[in-house]
Amino acid sequence: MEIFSSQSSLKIFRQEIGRYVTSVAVAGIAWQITVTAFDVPKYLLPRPLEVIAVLFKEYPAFIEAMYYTSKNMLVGGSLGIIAGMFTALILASSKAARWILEPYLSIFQSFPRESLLPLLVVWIGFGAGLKIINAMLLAFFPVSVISLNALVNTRKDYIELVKSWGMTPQNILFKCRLMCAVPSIISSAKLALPYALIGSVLGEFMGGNDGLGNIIMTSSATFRLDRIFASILLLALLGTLGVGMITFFQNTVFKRFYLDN
Amino acid sequence: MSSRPKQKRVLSLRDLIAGYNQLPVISIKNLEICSGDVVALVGESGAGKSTLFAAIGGAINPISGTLLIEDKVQSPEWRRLNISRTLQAFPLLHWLTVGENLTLAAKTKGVTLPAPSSILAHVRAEHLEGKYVNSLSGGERCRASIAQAIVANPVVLLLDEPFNGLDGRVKREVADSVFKFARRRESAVLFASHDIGDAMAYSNRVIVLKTGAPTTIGMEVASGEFGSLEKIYSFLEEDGDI
Repeated sequence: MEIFSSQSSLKIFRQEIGRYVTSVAVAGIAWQITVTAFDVPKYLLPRPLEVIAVLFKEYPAFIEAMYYTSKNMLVGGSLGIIAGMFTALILASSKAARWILEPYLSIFQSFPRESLLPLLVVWIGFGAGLKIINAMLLAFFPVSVISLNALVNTRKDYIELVKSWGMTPQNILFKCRLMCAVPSIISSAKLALPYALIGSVLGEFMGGNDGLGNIIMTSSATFRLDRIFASILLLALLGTLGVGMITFFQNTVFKRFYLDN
Repeated sequence: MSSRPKQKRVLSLRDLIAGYNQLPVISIKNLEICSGDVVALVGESGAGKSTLFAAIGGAINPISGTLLIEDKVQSPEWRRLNISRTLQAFPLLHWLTVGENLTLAAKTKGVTLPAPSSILAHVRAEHLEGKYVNSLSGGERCRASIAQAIVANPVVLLLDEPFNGLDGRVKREVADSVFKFARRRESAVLFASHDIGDAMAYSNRVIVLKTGAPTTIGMEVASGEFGSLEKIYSFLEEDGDI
């Protein structure tokens, strides 16, 4: 495809990675100098080099935990994004469905979904299912709300155009409204994936023996702040990579759906 | 640009009232347009030109009156296939190329399109086939928009403000293409404009609307007729529009 043959997207992607690495490195150097200069105790704030050292020293545990957390984030996040889009499509296709079901979206948006976590523990235990479902729940709402808004607010002139061709309401939904909503759906997915990561880590906080959230909880009890910071660094990496991946698809596969394509 | 002999009546409106929510916006006592005719509908913004187009094109149902095409009350399916519109500002689906827009329009209308370039050739725009809509100039958008409207060889072609924002040369080229298409296909073309100059230059009949509640036909002149422009200005002066 023409969009893949373009090298500009890859070039921008590489430039962005360079920008992020430089930015983090500058902050790390400033942190190292400040903590060393003021001789801050390491049980309060470890030095960045100590954080890097623990990452290298305990890398098998960190890699295993990262794999567990990222797997739950991706599975739960993907399910949440798909379910959110599916719900938005159903609600956009029928005024009756919207009349009945839209209040649920508002109600579930109005309180912290994290408060459902203890219920999920009771219902499904501490296993991977808890983390996946929590990740899915957190990812679902931004996608469904934003996508629904985009699907029902399609440009009027586009709707008039396809109606003048005689397009049926069902085809208008899939061939016009959905296509117009792609940029909003991508934006909602960019919100949803970090939410899925939060959901996954919160599930790990609740219980179980796996994941970066579990390392944070166990390290907190023993004041191993170097391990906590190492886990946070990896979580930030996971979230950034997730959003970066979506941005890459936005600039390549989905580029034609943007008005400034 | 005089009317040709042996023209057949394509579009007839009798006592037609069109509007929204049963509120009349425009009322047409009697209007007939023949094959090969290019008729300009002149009126200020909000006069009801687009409403009339929506009623003729089938986007809205007339409140009352009769709308005949080829002397018959045609079914919605027939009208969908045989009456085509371009909309103000020439919208086209921006995630598709011009060619893909044409293909989708043809597929939706249920007609087989041999190749998008064959349609684009009617408006001298074959080079636009692979271009995305956002990369088109105003004139190119206009041509592409007219091309999507003629994919099914319509009997009636409705153009809503087709010359808005175009320079003189492009207007002339677009108008030539539309005239040629209308003659070849024996279609009737009705275009809305708020510019009397455009209406006189690019049509063979001009209908001037008299704004009111509802809007009605104020006067009608043949574009090529001696003194027709003066007649329009006199009418508008009497009407208080200028």
